Amino acid sequence: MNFTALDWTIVVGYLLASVSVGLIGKRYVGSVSHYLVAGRELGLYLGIATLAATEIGTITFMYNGELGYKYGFAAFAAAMISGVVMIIVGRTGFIIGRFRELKLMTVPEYFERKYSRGLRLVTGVLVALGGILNMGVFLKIEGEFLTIVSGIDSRHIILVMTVILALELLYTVLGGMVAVVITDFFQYVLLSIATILVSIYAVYHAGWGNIVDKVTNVMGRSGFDPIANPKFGLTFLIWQILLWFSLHTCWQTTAMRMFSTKGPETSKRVMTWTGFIFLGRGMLPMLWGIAALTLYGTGALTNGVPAPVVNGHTLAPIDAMPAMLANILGPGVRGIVVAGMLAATMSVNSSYLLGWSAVISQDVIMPMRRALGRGPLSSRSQIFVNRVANLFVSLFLMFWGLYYTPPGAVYLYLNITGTIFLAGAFVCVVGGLYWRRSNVLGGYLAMLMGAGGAIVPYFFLGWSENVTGFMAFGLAACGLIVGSLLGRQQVAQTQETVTAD
Amino acid sequence: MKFWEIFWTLNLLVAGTTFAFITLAVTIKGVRDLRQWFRNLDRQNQENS
Repeated sequence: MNFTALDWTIVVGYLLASVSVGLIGKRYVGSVSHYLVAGRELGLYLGIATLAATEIGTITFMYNGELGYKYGFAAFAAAMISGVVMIIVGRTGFIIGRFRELKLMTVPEYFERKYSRGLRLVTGVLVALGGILNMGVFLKIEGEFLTIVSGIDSRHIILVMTVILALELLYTVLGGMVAVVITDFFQYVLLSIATILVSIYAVYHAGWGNIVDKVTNVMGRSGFDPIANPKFGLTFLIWQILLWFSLHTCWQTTAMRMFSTKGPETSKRVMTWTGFIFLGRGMLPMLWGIAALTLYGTGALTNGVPAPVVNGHTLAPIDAMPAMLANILGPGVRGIVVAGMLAATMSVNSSYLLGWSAVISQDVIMPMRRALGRGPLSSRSQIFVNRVANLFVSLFLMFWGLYYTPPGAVYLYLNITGTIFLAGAFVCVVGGLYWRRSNVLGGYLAMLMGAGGAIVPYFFLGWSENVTGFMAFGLAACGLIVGSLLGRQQVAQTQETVTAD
Repeated sequence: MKFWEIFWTLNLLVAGTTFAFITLAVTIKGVRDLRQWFRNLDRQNQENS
């Protein structure tokens, strides 16, 4: 066991404080707009905190650490693209400004306004499927981190992760977005302190000169140049640019933060400043991974990179970073860092639980009810349906998340599962907002070809992630263009809203 | 290769510094935002009741 009594006190204290603060949120929830989009009253700083906390989790640290360990500084290209694209989206208001003006609650809701109820339903199913599969690997990876850093016996990790999921579920189900935003704020502060602390410790222990020398000796030019690196190259970079434009605009959990701000201008400023955080969100944990390679990369070579050997045990590259933390952090600091990582875990998981369950309730269950001729639900009933959906998503995550192991680098698995719906959704949204000719047939083709272009080549043909992702976006764009040109031109729909606001 | 080494070092410095700076700003000014938000939610709930 690596943890001392002081570390345990810090971690348990954090968990109790976090849940208590989250439960305060319940008293402010008076309508479904409070439950899903925080009453659309978030200011700049609270908006930055909740957006950053939502997209920075232990899973983020793990997969970025793995990328740094395997590909050196060349991996920084992915982090840079994510941050720069976010800043561009924020500065221009591309999609997010228009979305905020429409007062949406979920991304698929837009599909009913622009295209049809049927397409909203199809999009809702694909968004929920891609999103939940994406989140499905979180618990296992987060559990690995906790096991290695704290030294908890791996046989108990399922119990530990179940307790953590139950705690975050408790305040998310009761307080919805209000509880999530309150906890996000405190969790963001804590996870940021942990991030800065770990970065200082990692560079101090590994030494900057040693870090650069290790990457130079092990990887040569491909450890620095993303175009020369065989895993990356131009196709990867272009796919990443497309992917991040779609993630920052159409990813349900990110979009919910934009819908929750006071107005379009605030949403643009939140996005711009969070873009700078995203540079560090990627590069700092990648640096930890490179530091772990420097300190422990002494094992047998796999694809030219030495396996990490820590205290005589050979580990997987993704586990090198947490093993380094277990060794270099002292008592007390280790507790603060693990509390920070738990904060990151809980902020992401609670936001994702709310995001995907919102899609299931608002974009799958509600449209199906209307298709069956049932009347609209009251605000209170919608909250109830959201809560039930939340419980079901959690149950799925428990069984899928703790037993499924993704093939290859986790970052790339997450990108591909996201692409299942993002390729089509992004193309449909861009077409819907900026191309008058786009219509329902084009929308259906874009969604189905985008999903097929991501699923078939990656899961059945064994193509690389880069080519698969790139092709999914290309097919979705072809689907929208061909379908829109062949189908009937659509009469512009009004802003007829489909959910209570 | 030297170009990329310098390029990524500078990027890392910018990323680390802005991360720390924004965290500080959000920590200090976010509390004010939080209070204002609670007041607005209370107002909305009173208007709706």
